[in-house]
Amino acid sequence: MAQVELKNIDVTFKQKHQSIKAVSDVSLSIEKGDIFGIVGYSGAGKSTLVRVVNRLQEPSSGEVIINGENIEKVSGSELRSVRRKIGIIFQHFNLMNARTIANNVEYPLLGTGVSKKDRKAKSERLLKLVGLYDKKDYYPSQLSGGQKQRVAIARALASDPEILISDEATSALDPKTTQSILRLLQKLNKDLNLTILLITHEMDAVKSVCNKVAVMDSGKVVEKGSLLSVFSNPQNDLTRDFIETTNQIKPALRVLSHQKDFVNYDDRRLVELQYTGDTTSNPVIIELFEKFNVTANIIFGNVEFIQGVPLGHLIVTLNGSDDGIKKAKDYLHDQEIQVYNIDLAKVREQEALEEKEEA
Amino acid sequence: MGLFSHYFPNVADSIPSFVQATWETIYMTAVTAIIAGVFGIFIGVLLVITGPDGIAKQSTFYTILDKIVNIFRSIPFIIMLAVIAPFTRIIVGTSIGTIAAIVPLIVSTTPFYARQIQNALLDVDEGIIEAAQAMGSSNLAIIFRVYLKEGLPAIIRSSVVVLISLIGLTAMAGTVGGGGLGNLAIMTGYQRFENDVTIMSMIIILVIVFIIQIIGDILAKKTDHENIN
Ligand SMILES: Nc1ncnc2c1ncn2[C@@H]1O[C@H](COP(=O)(O)OP(=O)(O)OP(=O)(O)O)[C@@H](O)[C@H]1O
Ligand SMILES: [Mg+2]
Repeated sequence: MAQVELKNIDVTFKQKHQSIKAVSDVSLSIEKGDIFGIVGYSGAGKSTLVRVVNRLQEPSSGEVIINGENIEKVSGSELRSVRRKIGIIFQHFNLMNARTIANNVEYPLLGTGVSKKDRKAKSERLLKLVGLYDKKDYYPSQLSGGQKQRVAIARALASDPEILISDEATSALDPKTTQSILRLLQKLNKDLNLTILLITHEMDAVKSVCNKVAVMDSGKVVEKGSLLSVFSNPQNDLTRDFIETTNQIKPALRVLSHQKDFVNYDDRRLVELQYTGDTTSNPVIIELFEKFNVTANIIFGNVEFIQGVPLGHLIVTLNGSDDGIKKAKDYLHDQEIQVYNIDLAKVREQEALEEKEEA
Repeated sequence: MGLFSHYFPNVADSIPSFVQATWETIYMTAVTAIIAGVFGIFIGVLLVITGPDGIAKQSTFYTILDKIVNIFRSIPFIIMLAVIAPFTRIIVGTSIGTIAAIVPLIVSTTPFYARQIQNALLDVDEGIIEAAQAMGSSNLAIIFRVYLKEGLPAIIRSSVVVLISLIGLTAMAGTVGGGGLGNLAIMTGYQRFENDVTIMSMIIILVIVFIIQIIGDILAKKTDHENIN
């Protein structure tokens, strides 16, 4: 049974002159222990979608099922106890300025029948967990962004949630702090078997911690699946755009597209090879020569690990007879190596286009 | 003492009236502040939670309350004194005297204070309210544990503004026999050409205002953990 199940969620904002469909027919199933990434550009509807999960936003239609229970009808104190099982951390931390760090962490326990002593013990334990015990009597305004987010995480954990939602929690942080927050989330996922919903516009964050990902565009989920399947075989252009931001292939191609030696390379002979798993490319490249008399010259290579599985990209030039090259490509295909032709003219065109947009 | 009676001859002769008038001013201000304070906070909170983007949005109720507050805000106090006199008589049995002056003071101060409270609370970051909702807080808990707590420094600052303008209003209470320093300044100082009485009344009022201002600043600073300098 999925821990969070969203079925055909629609959210429409009705305004005076128009209505905005912020979320459109989204269905997602999040299992216990998942770190589920939801990635999309600003305005894609990510925040609206996650606000539906704890009913801060009523869906216009669709069902939200948490631990098998449809929460559409719950209200009042029942809804509040559902909300306590879902911790949220926000981009702007949203800590209470008038309370100390320790009191912020205790906040979710106020009015729940937990004694003052137990509240204190719990906030101290959680602050130790996030490494901020020594700052417990400080006020939020005295902390750095990364520290504030750690407090927010401790606070989100105070009511022993089963699900933790992170809505752009690292967007206001520098890369190093982002990494440390992501590591912390990963640790919580492992140690507490906490299900995490990671909302972000940075595919890098998804790549480093998630096991599943959904890509949103204009309110719709355009692609979803395990991290490896999405990264190794993206179906949607937007997904490809996002993946490109996490590796060095695009910049490498841009450099190539301006180099004399490659400018006139025909797109059937300049190719990108992509492989997953332990298929090392070297024997294959030797085989191409032995079998088809085609030499493959590696221009650029990049191997990354997606959930521990290597995902490799090579940019190579193929030299040989037309027939040999065709056969070589078929052979690569049989070896489960994907081959994409590279058209440098197109790369240049796109670069010019983007420069124009920026200007 | 010689110098004092030289410059303030009439004041020196009427110390008891000054004590009496100061007491009346403080009394009218304090009683009004307490009662209008409670009503003002109540109405201010209602405006915030039922207003647009409020946690208990009630558009019709809000619109009506908002209009009422606006109407009462725009009636000049001196007119309010007269208009409300029959109502005052019903409530306190008379429309003359210090007690009778308190009723119109409350009616005038409450909407002003409610508006100030509304503005102070609207300054509380929406994100914090949303976080509290997400953490399972009820609306009542959000009012007391978030709005009033997070808004406290701003509430204190606007309370000072309202208190000071309230002292200004008490000066007009003399017209219904409410007494106070304002009354003393006009009735004795101004009309009998005893300038020193007017000046001394003003000095005492200024001292009260300064004290309120200073205490307010200290409290606001003490409770404000957001803007630490
Ligand atoms: N309360 C609202 N009323 C009207 N429109 C809204 C409201 N909330 C969101 N929207 C609209 O819904 C769309 C999706 O917004 P949402 O905040 O979910 O995007 P997002 O993916 O979280 O973006 P970001 O990355 O900037 O946070 C936007 O077009 C936004 O303007
Ligand atoms: Mg958002």
